[in-house]
Parts: sequence; C-alpha cells; structure tokens
Amino acid sequence: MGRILSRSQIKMKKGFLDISFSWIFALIIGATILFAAIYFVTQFSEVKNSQTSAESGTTFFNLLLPLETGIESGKSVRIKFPVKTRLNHICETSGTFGREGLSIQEFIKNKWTENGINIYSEDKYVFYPKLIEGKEFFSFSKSFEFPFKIANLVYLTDAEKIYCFSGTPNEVKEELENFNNPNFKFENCQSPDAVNVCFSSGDNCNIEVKMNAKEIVKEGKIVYFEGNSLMYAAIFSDEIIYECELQRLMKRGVQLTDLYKEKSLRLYNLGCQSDMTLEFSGLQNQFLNLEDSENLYYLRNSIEEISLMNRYSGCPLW
Amino acid sequence: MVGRKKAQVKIQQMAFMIIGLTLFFVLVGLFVLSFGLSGLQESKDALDEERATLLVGKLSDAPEFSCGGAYGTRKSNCIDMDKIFILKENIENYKNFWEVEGITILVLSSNSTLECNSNNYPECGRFIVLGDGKSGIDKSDFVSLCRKEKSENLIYDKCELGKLIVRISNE
Repeated sequence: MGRILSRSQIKMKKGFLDISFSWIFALIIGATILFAAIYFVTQFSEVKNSQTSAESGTTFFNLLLPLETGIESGKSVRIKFPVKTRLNHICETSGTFGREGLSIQEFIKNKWTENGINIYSEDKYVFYPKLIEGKEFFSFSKSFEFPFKIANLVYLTDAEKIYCFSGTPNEVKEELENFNNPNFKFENCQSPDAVNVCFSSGDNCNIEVKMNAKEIVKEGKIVYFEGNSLMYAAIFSDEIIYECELQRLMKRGVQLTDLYKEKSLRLYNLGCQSDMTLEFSGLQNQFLNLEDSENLYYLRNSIEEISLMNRYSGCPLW
Repeated sequence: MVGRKKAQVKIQQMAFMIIGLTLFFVLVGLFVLSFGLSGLQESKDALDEERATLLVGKLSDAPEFSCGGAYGTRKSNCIDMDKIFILKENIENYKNFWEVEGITILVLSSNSTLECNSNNYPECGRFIVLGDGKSGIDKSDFVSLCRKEKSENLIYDKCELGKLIVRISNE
C-alpha cells in the first residue's frame, strides 16, 4: 500500500538543516583556506621575529667592533635598542678559539618574543652576565695583555643599573672614571638598588674585590684575576661566563704563543738575542692546562719573566 | 538523469573554483614571502658590508697583525710583516676566526708582484693571508708594514706603505 507523504514530511526526510553538498564542500574548503592563511601568517611573523633578532644581534656585534680595535684602551660606547631587549649570552669553549654567542628577545606587546637565532663570533670576548635586560646598554673595553696582548675585552652593563664602588684604589678609580659611565658612582653611594662593589670589607656588598689575594666574591662564588682587565671582567659578568671567556682567552693565547715563538726564532736567526722558544713552550703548556681562574696564580711568574725578557731584548717581539 | 548531470556539472564548476582559489592564495602567499624575504638578503648584505668596513680598520690592530711596541712606540694601523709571514704559513686555525672570505696585504712600495713565500720573503709584493680565490666584495685600508732588517751587522726597523684588503662574500 503506497504511502503519500506531505511536502513538509519530504523536507524533514531530506534533513533538518537542508544543506546541500555544495554548501558543505564550500564550508570545508573555506575553513581549510582560512586556517592555512592563519598558519601562514603566524609562521611568517615568526620568521620576521627571527629576522629582526638576527639583525639586532649582528648589528650589536658590529657596534662592538670599534671597541675591539686600537692600541688604546678605555673606549666606551652606548648601545640603544628600539625596545626593551633581553640578551642571552652564550659562551662555548670547543674548537680552536671557542666562540662568543648571543640571542636576542624583544619585549613587544607586554611579552618577550621567542628566543631569536643565535649569532656567533670567534674573535670577540664580551663580559656580561648570562642574561641581561634593558633598552640601553653601556659598553667599554680594555686590552688584556698576558704578557702580550691577547685581545681587547669588552664589558657590557645595563645603562639603568648603578654601580657603587667603595674603597676603590686610585688607579682603578681613575680608569673607571675615564670610561665616562654616569652609572659608576664612587664612595658614599651605597643603596639597596645599586650594585655595591667593595674593594675593602664593608656591609651590603654585592661584589667584594680582594686586591691582594686577586679574588672576587660574587653571589657566594669566588673567581680569581690577574690585572685590571680581568678584574673588570669578573665584576661585570658572572662566574660561568667569566671562566668560559677566560678559557677562550687562553686558547687564543696558545695560538699567539706559537706566532711569537716562530717570530723569536726568526729574529734570532737575523742576529737578535731574542730566542725565547723554551719560555714560550712552557707558557703554552700553562695556557693549555689552565683549568680555571684559580690556577692563574701559577702563570704569574712565567708572565713576568717573559715580559722582562721581551722588554730588555734588543729586538722586542711585541 | 538530467538532475544528476546538472549536479555533476555543479561539482565540476566548484572544483575548478577551488583550484582557482587555492592557486590565487598560493600566488599571493609566494608574493608576500618573496617581498618579505627580499629585505632579508638586502639587510644581510648591508650588515656584512658594514662589518667588513669596520673590520678593515680594526684588523691591523688585532694581536695577530699589529706591530705593538716592537718597532718603537705603539702605532695604530701598523702591521708586523714578520708576524704576517708566520701567520700565513699557519693560517689553518684562523680560517673562520674573522669571518671573512679573504685577507690580502699588498706591499705598495715593492716593485715585485710576487706572492710572499719562504723563498722570496721579504723581497715580494703581496701576502695572501687568507682566501682561496673566491670572488667577493673588497674593502681596503692603507697601513704601515714593518719588519726587522739586517744591513751588515746592524739590525734596524724597516717600515713601508701597504694596503690591507678584506674580502667578504657576496653570496
């Protein structure tokens, strides 16, 4: 027996929404295109962020270049970023020279961007903590001679951070004043907001510098130094970075020792009394075997001896 | 039968439309991407060039090159030829150190154009310290080239005019 269905019954049977295949198809494809577009835009903005970070990192390294140059010491430079910036410091000791690295994050729309591309350089020795934040940075440099010049060390501080130095020896004070950093204050400047650097024992010291023992106590950790350039390095960086950069400096020292060893032989053959090959071999071994800054002390005698030999030889090597 | 054919035509139309739309969005995406990334190459080139310009002024004062106090007072832009000669022979370790394609030093006051080696040094015209003939962009600076020289029994300092050329990649 045939059953006659009314128009409304037919409609109900077709489906509640009555959406045709073409509509469903169009919706699915539309959604796919929309999601693809959103994905593409997100990826593209990430690429752009990485590009900006890489550009900033390279520009930053380029800005430090003039500080590394020259026979003079004590140059200073202000580096200003367009937005608040976080510099993640990387230091690696592998390879012939090790390498200095950096990745940049920017504070945009109340949050930090993802860690950018790492930028590396083998010929730079920059001292600042593992992580430093700020919009403006102050950097200055000093030559590291051990006994010959190994590199110019570059120091970086946040321009908003006040460093209060107390009990500072005159020679150090003069040198620090020459860096023209308005954030370096001397005597009667201790405050809870400042980084208090004490050269003589005192209260509220964040960093204690013991000139006679050539050691620096910072955050409960002790590092050792020889000469003012390494002293500043220890003050303005942290223990891990300091020890790592020191290893890198020793690695460059090994290469330079080879160079001077050959040069001393060459000049000796020319008639100069400058054969220091034995002394250089000894120094090279000490550079190679330096485990950490605590062993710097053992190099002191060799450094002084070679330095004197060079000064009083008829043909100085450096 | 007619209704079925009509539906097939509609689906075909839609398929063409979707292919067209996808192609359109892909092309737009490629255009945006190429536009965005063209700036990347430009900024890389600009930064490389800036670096080379700064480096050519700095390199002569690097400990591997500089005269230091070996020839009297400390001088800027003074290259120790003896050091360079030794460095050139042992350059392997320094291959990536300065991140440049090549470093060449020309002895401008020399009549020779021969490359310096252990047989002809110091009577030679140029040191190819680093680089294997790759092409690139050159940046140069004038420098003093100093070395110890012996005449009869007298050892003296001899300084000449030179040119330091740093080559960066143009790729």
